[in-house]
Amino acid sequence: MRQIQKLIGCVSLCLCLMLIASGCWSRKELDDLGIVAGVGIDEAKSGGTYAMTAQVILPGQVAGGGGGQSGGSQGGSGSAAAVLTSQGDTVFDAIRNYTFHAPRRLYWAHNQIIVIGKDIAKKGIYPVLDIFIRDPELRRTAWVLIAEEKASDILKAKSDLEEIPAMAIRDTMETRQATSQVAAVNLHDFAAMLMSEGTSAVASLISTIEESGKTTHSLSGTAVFKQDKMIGRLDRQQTRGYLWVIGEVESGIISVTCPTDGKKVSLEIVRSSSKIQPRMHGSELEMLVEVSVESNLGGQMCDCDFATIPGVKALSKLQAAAVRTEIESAWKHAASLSADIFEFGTALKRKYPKQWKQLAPNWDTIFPETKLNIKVDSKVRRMGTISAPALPNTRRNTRTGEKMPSE
Amino acid sequence: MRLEQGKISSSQLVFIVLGVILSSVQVIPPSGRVGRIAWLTNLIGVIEACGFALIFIALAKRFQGDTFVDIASKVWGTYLGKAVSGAYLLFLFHIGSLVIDDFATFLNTVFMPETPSVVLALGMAAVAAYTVRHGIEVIARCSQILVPMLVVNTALAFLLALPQFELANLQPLFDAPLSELALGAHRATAFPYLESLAFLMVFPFVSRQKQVGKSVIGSLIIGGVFLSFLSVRNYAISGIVNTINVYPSVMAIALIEVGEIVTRIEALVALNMLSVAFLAICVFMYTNVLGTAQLLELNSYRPLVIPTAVLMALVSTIHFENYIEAFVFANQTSLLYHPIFEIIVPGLTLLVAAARGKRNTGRDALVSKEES
Amino acid sequence: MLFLTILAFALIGMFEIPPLVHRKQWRELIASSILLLIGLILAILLSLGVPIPPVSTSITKLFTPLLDALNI
Repeated sequence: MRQIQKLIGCVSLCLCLMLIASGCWSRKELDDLGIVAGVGIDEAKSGGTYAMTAQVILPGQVAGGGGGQSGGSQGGSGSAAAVLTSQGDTVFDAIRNYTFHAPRRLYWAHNQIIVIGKDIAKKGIYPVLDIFIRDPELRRTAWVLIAEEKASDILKAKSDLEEIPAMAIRDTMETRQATSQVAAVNLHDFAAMLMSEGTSAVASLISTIEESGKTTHSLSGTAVFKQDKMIGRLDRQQTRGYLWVIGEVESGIISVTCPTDGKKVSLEIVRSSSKIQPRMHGSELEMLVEVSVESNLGGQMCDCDFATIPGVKALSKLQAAAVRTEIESAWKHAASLSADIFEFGTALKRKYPKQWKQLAPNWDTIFPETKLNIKVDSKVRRMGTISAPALPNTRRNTRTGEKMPSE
Repeated sequence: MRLEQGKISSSQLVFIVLGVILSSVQVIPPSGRVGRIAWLTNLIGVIEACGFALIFIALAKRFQGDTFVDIASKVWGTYLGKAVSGAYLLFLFHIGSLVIDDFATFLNTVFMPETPSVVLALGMAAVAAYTVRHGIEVIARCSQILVPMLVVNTALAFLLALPQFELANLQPLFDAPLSELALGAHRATAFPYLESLAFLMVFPFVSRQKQVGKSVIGSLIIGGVFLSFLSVRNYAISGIVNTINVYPSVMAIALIEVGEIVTRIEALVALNMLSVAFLAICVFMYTNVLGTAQLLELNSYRPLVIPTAVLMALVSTIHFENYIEAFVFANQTSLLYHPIFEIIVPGLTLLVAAARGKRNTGRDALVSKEES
Repeated sequence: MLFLTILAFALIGMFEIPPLVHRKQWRELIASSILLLIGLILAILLSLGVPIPPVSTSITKLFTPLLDALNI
């Protein structure tokens, strides 16, 4: 009797487990899914509604192409990603409207990039981003990019080096550190900038370029927002100026002009850091931005020999001046837009919480009037594998430092 | 016949209390609206909670070896005592099923949006029921495994999150109106700190009675420091977005990306939540069935476990109609509702016991109970 | 759904009740049966879609005047 009971218990337990543990709900079979790698949103022609372009990975093509170079462009178009379009009254609506024509359920957890058309960016970006922040399936680590023209063009552009264009964009975002001339902003960062009082949000700009007859994409600068509306842009040089201030320059090349013959010298940034210190003298606001930069001599086009104490000093002075110029250019532009992209307001709030409460409502007018005090601690460390240019002694100019214009 | 033969050590008590305190992280962030200064309110809350915990400790000392049901009947008399302990048991039942609901809601929101919450609730209750049937010792041993595992997981996630850390997010450190600070602290006291002590029931089973007080205060402090640490971590990672995140830990850890390989480690957080939710459900279910069995003078609490578990799971689905109601309950109602059973009832009981000179007369209550 | 509910409760009953009868633990039997019965009624009501007032929100409503008075 007891054994029978145990048996019944076991069997019913197994039945329950079969029902529950296998996950009947929310199950997603891979061959029913269309994995979205990137998404672009534009204004629809009909007005008021959104047009969505999603790049969906085709698993079969990825495997075929990745198997070996010999495969090349096998099977139809040979593209590893399909571009699907849809429209809707809201972004979510557009996402669900894919089901009318897409045989697979779109799966968003691997979405890498969100490209937003310029039209929307100018009118206000938050209505579009809300769902991406709110929905648990989407990840906040996706990059936010603003298209110079239409987002759909960006997603339709191809890359020769990557099979899936969205992944190519993702990878260019990750290699941005080689130049540090692109601001990389993911969904979380963007949300944080939007939420933070006084701060103007930024996002990378992306455009299409022609390369050997094909259309591909290129990161072209930084979009500057006021609230959630795009009001201007920084070019690449200004972007690095901005990145110096917020301490996000990781690598990159600083080109300085050789003092003796006017040719260029490239300094390779190794590391940098920054510190923003707000100061209040009565009603006057001063922002002390201390940037420290360390670099190596990466290459020179001139004949100078910098391997002397004055030579290195001269280089680091030139570097400091170059960094200062970049920062000033970014600052002037931001001030003209009265857009606090540097988060000076946040720094102020942290140091002077009480005063900030009074300043905050008028921050837009106060910010451009702020005095910027830039201090650059510049160091040139190493010279690579040669200590002097590979030129005969007679051609070398060893008196570099002395010919420096006195500062 | 005694209902529970098991004994737990005082270190196991620490782990259980910790488990219950930490189970609150799955619900609304322990100090809701206070945001950036959550770490501070959590710490102040601990101090307040330690003060009130003295009531529990005094009761446990006065009535060594008695559960709350015994104490109530001794202090309040047979009928009133039964009413008081009945209300207390309802509270435990309510909190237990709330934990189930919180957990199901968490899974529904973040990981399994389509699964009916009753299925999640029943699954969780079933596992808890299985554990509770095996008695306090098994729960204690579970907590001994799960809580350290949680600490390891958290440490791991913390290390991976270090690159994203920005402590400047927390500045200015103390900028908050005093009233908000006090309210936040009291909120943390009512829930989760004192909630974890609402199970006076288990104290008699601690093998070394003298250490109960020490373990309780110790675990409150550890729990408080841990919660503070979590709020610092989450705010340092997520910054201002943390104030609108429904599940701050998950969202903070979800931002971790080490290369392209170590991503999506918020599963670790989910694992933590699963383990502490399980512990909390076990504890409340156990104390509830044990008390009910005592109240009804049964010989064993085991026959009550499955019906109670089913009932808890079912009730868990009808707590709230929407998330906002849950938020209001956790942030506002709990300020008044929880203290009734966490402070007023035990406090009054202690007062009346002192006034009437009641205490446990038997040298060893568990033995005297066996004789009766 | 209703059928499944009743089946589930029947299974629990089968698991719980015989040992209690066997050991002649009548008090336990009554207590656990009553709890189970409440559960069954609740489950049937839920599966029939009968509206049940939300439990915790009812408590909130109970406290609302006091909360308002304290301005929390």
